[in-house]
Amino acid sequence: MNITRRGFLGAGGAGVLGAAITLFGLPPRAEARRRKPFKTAETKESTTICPYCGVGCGLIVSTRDGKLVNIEGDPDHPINEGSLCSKGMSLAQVAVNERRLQKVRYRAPGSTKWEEKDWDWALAEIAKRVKKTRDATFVAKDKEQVVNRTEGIACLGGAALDNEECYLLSKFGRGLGLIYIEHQARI
Amino acid sequence: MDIFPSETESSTEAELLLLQADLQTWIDQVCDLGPYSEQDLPEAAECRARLDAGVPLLPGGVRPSRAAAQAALQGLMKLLRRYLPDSTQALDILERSVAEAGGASALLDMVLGGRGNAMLGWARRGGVADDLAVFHAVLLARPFRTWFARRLLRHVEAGMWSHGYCPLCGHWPSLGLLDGQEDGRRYLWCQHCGSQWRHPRLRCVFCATEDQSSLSVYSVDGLAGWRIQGCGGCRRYVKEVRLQQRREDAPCDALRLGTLALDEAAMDVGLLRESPLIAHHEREAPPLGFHAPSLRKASHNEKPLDGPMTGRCQ
Repeated sequence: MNITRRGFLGAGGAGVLGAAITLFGLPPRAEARRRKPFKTAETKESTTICPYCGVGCGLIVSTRDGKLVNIEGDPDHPINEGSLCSKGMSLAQVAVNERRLQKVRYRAPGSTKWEEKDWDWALAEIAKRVKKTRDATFVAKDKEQVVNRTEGIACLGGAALDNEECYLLSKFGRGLGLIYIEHQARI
Repeated sequence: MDIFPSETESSTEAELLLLQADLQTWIDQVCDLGPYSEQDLPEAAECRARLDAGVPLLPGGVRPSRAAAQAALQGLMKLLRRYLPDSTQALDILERSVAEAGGASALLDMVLGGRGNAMLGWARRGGVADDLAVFHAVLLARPFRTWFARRLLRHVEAGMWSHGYCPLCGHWPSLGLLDGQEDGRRYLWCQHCGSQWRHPRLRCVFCATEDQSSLSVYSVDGLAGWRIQGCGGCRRYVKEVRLQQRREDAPCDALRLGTLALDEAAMDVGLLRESPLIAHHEREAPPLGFHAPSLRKASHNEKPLDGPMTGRCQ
């Protein structure tokens, strides 16, 4: 009973059963190994938590060669038992999406056109404008009470931020004296 | 039917499903003969204690009736002759060797008693090929284990069992079924008694590791919907299929036999097939020719799941 690829996929029941006996009976004999190897792809699965709302649904993320190939609900997670909402189900699109912006785009005040800019320009511009607004609206004292705050800037986080990112965002905002710090994790 | 790999020819699918139906008919017929007495069944309290301790339910030392054993052998030989028309000579030798060894009862004593090496020794003395002997022996014992499964699996309540080995007979599973109706929950299927039980997706069936860097999923070209979960720690694997809806009477034998390519692909990537002759709770040396399986005791930190226990219970 020699194993051939046809024995697995193409033959009738007799061929399949014959191959099964050879394959399942004992470790394959030498002749059974003389065939072209099958083409396989290895995927790693890991569990994580949905970054969106505060429910904390469990996910199984599949990656191949370091790239995301699938996200599905974790059926063994006690909160969602495999179910996901429409946002959670489309989560893979956050990472894999040809419409996702890859470069900085800037539209000047009054302009109708988007311009492509590099990160160095963008970060310097953001820093400059934050500082300008902060300096213009900074309140050092409220009556005699030292407050060191700015009411001219608000910080709005995103639902896709994770716990650590929210921590850093909050720390950054407090450092500037912001009091309007918000994370949209209640949807 | 779209659960077979897409490359499978329709004639093969038809043959496999016919084989599945014939197998089921044969199992039902043997079970209907009443191979055991109801008094052979353990009490509910004992079942509970065994499950709590991670010990499978099948009682040891209980022998089936000679009439049922003989009928099972005759039915199986008839079935094998139908599906292996080119192996008449090998089957003649097998049948003669069983008769010389004391008949079906003697062979069942060895198989149901977990004495795999004795069974292989018998086969080699009689000139029966190892592979045919193992395949035949596992199948011959199936109706007898199924008889117990149909009566004892009702004791396995939801969340009570989440080990990788079968709660009824203790053997390692031959197939994983990912249930689309239950958001991808994994159920394992035992070829020795037909039981299905729930098991976490990201836990090795064999060594119970939950180290996600050790577990890999392999897909094979042309076998959409099917996959292999392999463990880098113990190097064993289980093949899995995604079903739109898992059923207790899913044609698991046909699915297993129709996807031998996956077993070969698993071996291509260096994974090892678990012995069909060794159950988790048995302590005999591994059968000749197999690697040593790890006879790991149930870990206390294995949390049970709330999935329903399924099987063809009466």
